[in-house]
Amino acid sequence: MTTTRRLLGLGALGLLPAAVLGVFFLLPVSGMVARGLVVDGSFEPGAVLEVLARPRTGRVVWFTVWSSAVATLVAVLLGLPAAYSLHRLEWTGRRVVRACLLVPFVLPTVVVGVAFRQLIGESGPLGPLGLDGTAWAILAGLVFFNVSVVIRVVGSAWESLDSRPGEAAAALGASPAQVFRTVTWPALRPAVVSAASVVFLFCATGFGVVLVLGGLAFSTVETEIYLLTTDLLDLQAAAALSLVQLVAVTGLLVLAGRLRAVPDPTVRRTTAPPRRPRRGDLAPLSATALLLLAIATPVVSLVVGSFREALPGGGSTWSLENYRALTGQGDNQALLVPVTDALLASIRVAVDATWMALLLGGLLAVLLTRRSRSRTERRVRSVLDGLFMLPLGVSAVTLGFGFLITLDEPPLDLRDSPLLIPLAQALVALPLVVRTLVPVLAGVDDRLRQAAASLGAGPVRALLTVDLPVVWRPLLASGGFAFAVSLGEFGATSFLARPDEPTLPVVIFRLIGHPGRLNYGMALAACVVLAATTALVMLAVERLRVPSLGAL
Amino acid sequence: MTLTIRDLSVAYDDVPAVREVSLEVPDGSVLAVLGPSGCGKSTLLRGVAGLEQATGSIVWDGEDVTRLPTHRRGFALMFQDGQLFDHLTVGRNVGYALRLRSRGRAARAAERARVEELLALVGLEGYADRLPRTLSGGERQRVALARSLAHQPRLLLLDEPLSALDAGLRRHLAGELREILTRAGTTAVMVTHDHEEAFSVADRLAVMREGRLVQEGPIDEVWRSPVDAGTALFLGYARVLQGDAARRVLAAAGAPAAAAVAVRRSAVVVDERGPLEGEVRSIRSTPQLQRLVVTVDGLGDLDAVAPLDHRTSPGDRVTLGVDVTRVAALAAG
Repeated sequence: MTTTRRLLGLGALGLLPAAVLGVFFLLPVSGMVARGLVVDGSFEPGAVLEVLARPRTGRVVWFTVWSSAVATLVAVLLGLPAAYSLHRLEWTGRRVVRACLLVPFVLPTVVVGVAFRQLIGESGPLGPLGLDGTAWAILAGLVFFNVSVVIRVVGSAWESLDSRPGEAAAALGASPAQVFRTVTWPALRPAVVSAASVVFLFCATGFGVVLVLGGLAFSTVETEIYLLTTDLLDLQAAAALSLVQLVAVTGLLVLAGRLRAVPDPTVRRTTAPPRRPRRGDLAPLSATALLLLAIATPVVSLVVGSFREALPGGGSTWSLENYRALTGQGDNQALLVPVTDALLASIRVAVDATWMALLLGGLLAVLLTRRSRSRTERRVRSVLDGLFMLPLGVSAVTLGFGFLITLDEPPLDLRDSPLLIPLAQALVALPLVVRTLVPVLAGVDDRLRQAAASLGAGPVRALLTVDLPVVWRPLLASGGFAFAVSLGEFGATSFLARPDEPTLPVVIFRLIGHPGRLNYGMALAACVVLAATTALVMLAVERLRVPSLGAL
Repeated sequence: MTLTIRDLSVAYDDVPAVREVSLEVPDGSVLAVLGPSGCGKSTLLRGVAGLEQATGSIVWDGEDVTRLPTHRRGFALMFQDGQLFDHLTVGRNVGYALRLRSRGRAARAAERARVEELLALVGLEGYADRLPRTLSGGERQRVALARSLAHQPRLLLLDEPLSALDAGLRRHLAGELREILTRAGTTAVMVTHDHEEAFSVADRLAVMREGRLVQEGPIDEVWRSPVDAGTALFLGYARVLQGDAARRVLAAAGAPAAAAVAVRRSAVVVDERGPLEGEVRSIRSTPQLQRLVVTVDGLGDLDAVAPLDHRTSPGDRVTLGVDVTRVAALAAG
């Protein structure tokens, strides 16, 4: 194959993802940025500064930073012992517990918010603690669904850590604590830093949890953008904040990428078989048990709450009323369509978003893992890699907002297109798909492809015989992951969903904000349905045992 | 100061890897545990180090260490591929065990001196500030050895210390290893699948097969009288003959009859006055001698050697003698 043909082929592979990213990501985001900088047709960066000088903006930014930092720290501290117990030790029930602890990550943020409100609200089991409406509630919510990120990222690194250097240290007389400090920790640090930076990012751009638990009292940059847009209609201030967030998050992503870079990538990693727990493992095991309890509490209280019906005279009783009401539109005409319709719409949208994310992610992963034959080619690859990670850094709210203001006039009047929401969600899920597939494809020894070629296989045949057998499970798993992400996506969807065609998370948010005896109970029931659907998908995905799933 | 292992067994998920092995290693001696891969010899070593849960007992100088965790046993284990800590310099790798035991300024000065001394011992002076990944395979193994010797462990466990190296380097390092261990006066157990390596490093030999200890003793004793055919083949004997064939070969060597005999490749020599006769099937020249395969009448194929100046070709008939020092009588096949 000639060089020109090879490059043309690679270019053709990249065409579709590049076009989609250009139209549905770069255009909306730059449109939104322009909204902040350009006033009445002239370039006025001063407006951004004016927004930033507002005392409320300062409070919002400060709250975003400190709440994210504290939540990150707590999530890491809680996640480390669990990562150890779940990935280095062998005990009965380990798989089930691991799956349970990973569920929060894919639980829709709205569900997490509602679950915590139910738990610590006035009438909730932990109501007397008076946590409702405090920053602690938001912190707890953030930690709740980010611990699983730490467990997953650090756990898979820990699992593939060669146990022999540790054994060598022990044989030289190092106690378990000394082994951890001098051998394990230095090897684990990149994974921990990587997990922490991702968690910080998720916390800083956390939307659903903060919106549901914080109300107007506590606002992060992300929810502030939402409030400015939808409630105060101050589009320019929203755009200015989006711009700030874009810069900060991109900086963070670059920093995280630097920190993640392994100094010596040639180090071979092996998967050490987990061993049976010893007496010294009691501490991490108990920490894991406590964590499991802490994770289970809000979920259990959510499920229990969904089966309680508030009686008109006060008090409550067991009933299925909340679930029966899902076929209706709630009290006081809270909704325009029944909740069941919203569930169907959610699933429809998620199916579309999944195939889009898989198509784009698959093409990109193939493109990114081909061997670079020149320095320029390698540069182009690394720029592409970074570019397609951007959706991770740009908040979903910014994206949804950008869709709204740029794709509203011909030739790109897509507001009524049924593919608009799936596209936005596919872009949100895209980095996760790419990051799952790239390590797997990169792990395929290029010489296998060369061997296939030397035996007479063309590029497509080589792809089918060499790459596909390795990649089909991760592909399926990342499909499930994208499906789950799409089901719970709230940030972008909250802008884009039309009132007569909402998705489930949007409906839930509407229900909890609408007064009415039945509405809150319905929200709980809808949360349980949504969470159960997501959890089912994730448990199926977990069975595929793909190590790099969602590895950011 | 003797290591005594009694009835040591290790199982992985109820599949036994080491079965009731009993061994004794006297103070200052080097024992080589020899066996094919998968025979459980490395597992035995890990069991002694305390890295695997084992039943039975491990006693050092009257002190039962079976229940002690690895780091309290005072043994050192050197891995097949060194397992140097890649994030530490060579000097800090070697001084690792010393740093675990003491802190403070004086200790650090002592550590530096000891590291220099050890690096000199393994022939790597001036390497203290290098990073492990800049070293060659042989250098890495030397560093690993120095690291294991640093805190003067009462027992050194070596898990195939040379097998990751190429053949020339392996022979060279085996000799050095022997010298370093003797000079340091360290009691050591070395696991290997290479009998040449065992012969050049150890004083005593233990042969393992399928998790069991099949023979143990001073090296020349094991060498001269292997306990069975499998052991003989593993120790480098070329063929094991049984029954009538064994009787005839032993008679030709002038040795008493036995049920079976193990024959080295160089045991059968072309000799005009030899008692055996056969037809040459193939010849291959090596720098020192010619190697023949001869179909001996009524015996079958045997390997034989002839001096380089002996002219013969396939199809010729030759007479053969047997060198008694290169055969070993076996009790049973």
